[in-house]
Amino acid sequence: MSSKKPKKPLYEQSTQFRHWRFSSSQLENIRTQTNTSTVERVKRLLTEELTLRETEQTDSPRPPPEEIPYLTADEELALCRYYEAMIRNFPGANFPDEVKATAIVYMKRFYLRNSIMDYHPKTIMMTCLFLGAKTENNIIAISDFLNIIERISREKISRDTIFRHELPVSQSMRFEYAVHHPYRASFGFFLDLQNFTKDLTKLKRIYEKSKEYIGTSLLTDLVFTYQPSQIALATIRMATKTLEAKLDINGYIRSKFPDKHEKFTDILNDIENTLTNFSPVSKDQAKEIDRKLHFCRNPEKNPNSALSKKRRADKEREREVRKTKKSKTLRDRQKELESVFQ
Amino acid sequence: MSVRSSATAKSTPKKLASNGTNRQGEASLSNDNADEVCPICKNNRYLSPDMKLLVSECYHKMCESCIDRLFANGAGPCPICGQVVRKVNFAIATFEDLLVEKEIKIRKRIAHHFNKRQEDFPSLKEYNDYLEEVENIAWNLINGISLEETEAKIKAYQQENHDLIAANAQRMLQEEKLAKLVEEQEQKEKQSEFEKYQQTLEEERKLKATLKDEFIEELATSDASPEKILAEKKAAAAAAAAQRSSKQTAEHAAATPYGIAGNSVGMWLGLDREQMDDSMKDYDPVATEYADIDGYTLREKYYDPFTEVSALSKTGGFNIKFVHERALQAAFSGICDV
Repeated sequence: MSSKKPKKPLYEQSTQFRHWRFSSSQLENIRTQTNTSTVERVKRLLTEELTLRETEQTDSPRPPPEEIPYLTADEELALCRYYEAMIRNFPGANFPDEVKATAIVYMKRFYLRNSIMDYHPKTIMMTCLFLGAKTENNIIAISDFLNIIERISREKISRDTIFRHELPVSQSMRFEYAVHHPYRASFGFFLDLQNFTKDLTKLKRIYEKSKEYIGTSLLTDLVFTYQPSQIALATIRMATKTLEAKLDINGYIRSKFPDKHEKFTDILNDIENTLTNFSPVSKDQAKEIDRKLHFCRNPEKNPNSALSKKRRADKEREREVRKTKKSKTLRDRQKELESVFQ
Repeated sequence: MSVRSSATAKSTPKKLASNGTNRQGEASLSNDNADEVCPICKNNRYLSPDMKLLVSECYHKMCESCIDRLFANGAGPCPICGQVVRKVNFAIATFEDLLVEKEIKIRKRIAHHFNKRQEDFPSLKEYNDYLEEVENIAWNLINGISLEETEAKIKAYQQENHDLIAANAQRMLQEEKLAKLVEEQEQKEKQSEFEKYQQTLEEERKLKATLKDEFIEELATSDASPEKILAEKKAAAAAAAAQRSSKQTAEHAAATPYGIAGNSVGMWLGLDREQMDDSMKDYDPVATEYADIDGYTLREKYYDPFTEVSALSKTGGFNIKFVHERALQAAFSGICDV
């Protein structure tokens, strides 16, 4: 088999390469699609909720579903970015870079197909961090994890919240937990550049700076659009520039990839532009979006809403109906069987 | 003397006779066919106990010698009904009642063709109709009512449902196979369990023997009171038993068998099957060889202040070269993707 087909690089067989590689326009399409379908669904559900509530006493006045300013795809993305940044600056537990990076990527993958109107990014962020700690072999006990969260946010989260969200998160990622990050690739370039320069202390500083840039790159869409090695090389190049090191990084690239040099420069420039133009989402912005989000959350996911109460009752009734129906068909069948011999 | 001898002489034939009746009685008990008569030669079992009655295709009995004689030159008409029969088609009757024999043979034949199942029908009523139809055909064949018509019916049915019959036959075969497999597995499990049980019995016996020996030896050598030694030994035996039982339960828990059709993995693989199929097109799950990653040459030594190498990890076979190679591979894989 292998003699007939040309052998493939190992990385191209990874799920990250096969399933989680998108162009920026594709990303935009997916996000708007998710957003529009969710808005439609939530609008319908809110109308239903409102009709249910009219029969009850209304405790807080809510705007009618048609007039609610629903979140746009960009706003959703902004709030996600805000919480992704929170993962990156997560203070407790001393998680290594890989754990945080994996958690961020999980969150990004999750919100490609899900909306924050269904799942609030705060819980998803914690779930992703907990999951990432597990998959990156940095296991932390759930009780310790919850203690840390409580210390930071002064808010008590039940372990069930995390456990309940683990499955939807995993499913949305299609259970593809393996993530390749630019960190190791950057270390690889740090090693390989030792053939190219004698100034090792400078090189070390370049590598450390590049890790900072990689941290920033995690908060952008670069993890979907470019390969980890490409991001790593771009951050190394950026670090060389900012540190004003006497290192001919362009010469290095030219010597390594002589035939694809021009295309390569385009990629690296694009990554560099994205990173320099990146600005984090401010707290005020996030608060603003969160306030908007409060009105357009999916009432089905709120256990106290009238709709979810109705859903539960419906389910119960349906189960009851199914039960009686089953016993009835059984009885009918028995009768039919008996009638054959009469 | 002579009188006595004559008396004995007289008694012998009596005995013989009684022996003879005895044998006959035995035969009648075991075979219940002492008065079986071949309808052709009128020979009966009483006269020739080795006589074998065989059944023809047309369900008529005759003895082996008659068959040999009548059909020595190939096929010939049955002397009772006139149907053309062959010697090879005579069989030993399983049931004495030939009607039963005939019915079973016919039913076997019918079941071969009419093998539809309930799930092949939209409703129970239709299935019952079908069963009744089959029963009618069987009845007609058994009792010889409008034979030609019935045969034609069977043939028509056979042609009509050719594929379904074959499919159902296949299915039956598979089910039989599966059942056999399950049975074999169960038997194996039982066997192994039995062996394990015997092993534990043996172990227990040995342990008891050694404990007893030890006890006696200690009684002989040590100065402690026999009650104390006995109590000690008993405690040791109880501890050993407890350990054994806990080990057994652990083993039992570890050996949870997987079901034959254990495809719970398929459940989540089917999340979005279409997309999955698409992405699996040029994916080789058993690929063992990958293209080389080029662009770098691995040096023996690098300046590396980041990787900690403890003496302990080195004894475990850790080599920093692997770390470096992996990093370099990460740096140069996927980099040319545009």
